Amino acid sequence: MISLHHFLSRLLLTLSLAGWGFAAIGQTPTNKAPLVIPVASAVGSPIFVLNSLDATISVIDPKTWLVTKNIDTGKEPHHFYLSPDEKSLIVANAASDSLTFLDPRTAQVQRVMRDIRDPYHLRFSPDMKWFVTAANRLDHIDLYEWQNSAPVLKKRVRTGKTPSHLWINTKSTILYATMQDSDELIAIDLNSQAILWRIKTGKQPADIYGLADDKTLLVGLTGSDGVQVFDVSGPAPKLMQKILTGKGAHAFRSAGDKRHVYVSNRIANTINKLDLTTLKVVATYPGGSGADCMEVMGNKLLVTSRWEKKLTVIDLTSGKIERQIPVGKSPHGVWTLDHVPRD
Amino acid sequence: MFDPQQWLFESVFQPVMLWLDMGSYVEDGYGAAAWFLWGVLEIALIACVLVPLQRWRPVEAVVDSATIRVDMLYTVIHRLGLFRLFMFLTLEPLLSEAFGALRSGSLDMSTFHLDQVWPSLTDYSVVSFFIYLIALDFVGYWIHRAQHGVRAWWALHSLHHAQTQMTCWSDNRNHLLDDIVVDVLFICTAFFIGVSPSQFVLIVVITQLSESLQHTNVRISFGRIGERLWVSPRFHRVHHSVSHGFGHNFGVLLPWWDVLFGTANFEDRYDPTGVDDQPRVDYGRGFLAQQWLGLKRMVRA
Repeated sequence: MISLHHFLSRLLLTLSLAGWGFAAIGQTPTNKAPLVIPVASAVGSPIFVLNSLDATISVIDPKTWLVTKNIDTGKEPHHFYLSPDEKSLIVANAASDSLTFLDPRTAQVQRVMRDIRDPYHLRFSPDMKWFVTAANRLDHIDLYEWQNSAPVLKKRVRTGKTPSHLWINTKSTILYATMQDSDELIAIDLNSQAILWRIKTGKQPADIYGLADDKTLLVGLTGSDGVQVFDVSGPAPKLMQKILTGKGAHAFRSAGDKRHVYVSNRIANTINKLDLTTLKVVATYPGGSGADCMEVMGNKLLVTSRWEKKLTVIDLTSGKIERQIPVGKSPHGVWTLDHVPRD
Repeated sequence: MFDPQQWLFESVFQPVMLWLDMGSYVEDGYGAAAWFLWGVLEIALIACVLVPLQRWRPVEAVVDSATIRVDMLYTVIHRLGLFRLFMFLTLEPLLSEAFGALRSGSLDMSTFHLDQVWPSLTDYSVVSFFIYLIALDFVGYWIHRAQHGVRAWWALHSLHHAQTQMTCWSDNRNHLLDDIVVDVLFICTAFFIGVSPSQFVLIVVITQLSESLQHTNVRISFGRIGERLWVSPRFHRVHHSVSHGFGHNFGVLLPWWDVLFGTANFEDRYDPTGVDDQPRVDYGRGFLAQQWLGLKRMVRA
């Protein structure tokens, strides 16, 4: 007689070891600085990696580079953001319609907030008044006011097809969002909660990075091979130029020196360093397979390598991959409190 | 360590998708690579484990190899993802639009997340996995009963039962329209109860492997207790019994629902399989004939 228990146990073990999963819709984070910027000197806070297809968070000790624990979270966690009081790291679980709050220092789960509709990407305005989520599957953006540590929905804005990434200007007045499947960049006036304008982009726009002057936006083109530069200083946006980076240009992360930003190229599997004054590529690094979200911690660049299920650590001094840490399936967001200043 | 999903995706799926200007779907392609590899593994397990089992303790001798070869074609179409690709390109975008409209339109309908009913317990992925497996199996039981109980649906589903040479390759021998209806119902269920995509993959793989075992031409029972825990080849063969079965044993993975709703039959018997109107009714021998005749039966039903 077949031992059913044995059969199932072995099967489940095999399935989990093989680690094959299902495709997710998803891209990248880019957390704007909190009011108080952490300094990247005393490295010691845990590194968090969101395993979007495992519904888990890998917690990595930056001293030993070991995964110290895996935390169950909601389905399809893609992006993070630090709460205004800096006591919680907020994980957006897109397919669970929930937010998980973690202690960024101890990695303890603090609470879970339900009924936040399809939170794929999330962002606070610099003045911390607005909390915004992009519902990637539902073609809308939710604008919340952050009141007493909780979001209060003010307006649901219908956008274009598949809102992907968000950016808010330094004055906290305009929200920018990319539309992954209708190839658009839109601007929403936060005071009136109305769409100000929309402009066509290259194929499959993903992450957005706004320069400190509030006049220039960079948009990564995952369906192409570079970054488009838009002038948004006037009433209508203007496409200024395209910077060639690599195939699958996707996410941005500030280098912390007020001059450079990193760009991940998810198909080319590289990372570029862009000089924001000249808008030229000044360095290229290997990024691991499916290079996606990034975090800068001292002289280390942390990159989630989605297709090989690893966190890739790049030594920025040598420009080489220092190590790769196995994490869960389709790792997406990466974050640590000990990041360099966001510019 | 070599990762076959990564290799297949980066060396085949991604380049092909970019060449076809389907860059927006590369993440779906990453998932499709997993489905394909699971399918290859399933077919390998059928060939290397279940086929030898059939030779070890067969219920009946093989007298019609040609009909088994047609079943193998059905297996390849399903397990290697061709049917899934068809659904992805046709009905799934429509369903996705419909669900999006339900969730963010004027109805503002929220998904009932089954894995959030008891947060301190169901937040654990292992717990939620088993909850979803049981829930989907429950739905599967009732879909199967409807396949037998609704006249037009039975006209299609009877193709599956018309196999008189039932083997480990017979699970996917279905009318494609029958498959589409079942698939749509499962997609809707997954939407309404919030199944995690990666858990959905595991549930489907477990279900498919178990179903291949259930159809295997082998004299195996799981014993008095095991028979009541998981659907065995004996249990499912009673369902396919030409003289005895159609009102019994509708369970997909778990016989619990048959016990609960009074349709379980635990008799230790291994009858011939087929439909009682054979050979008067022609169910076809080749793939295309079977599909065409199935449509005609449905129209007449």
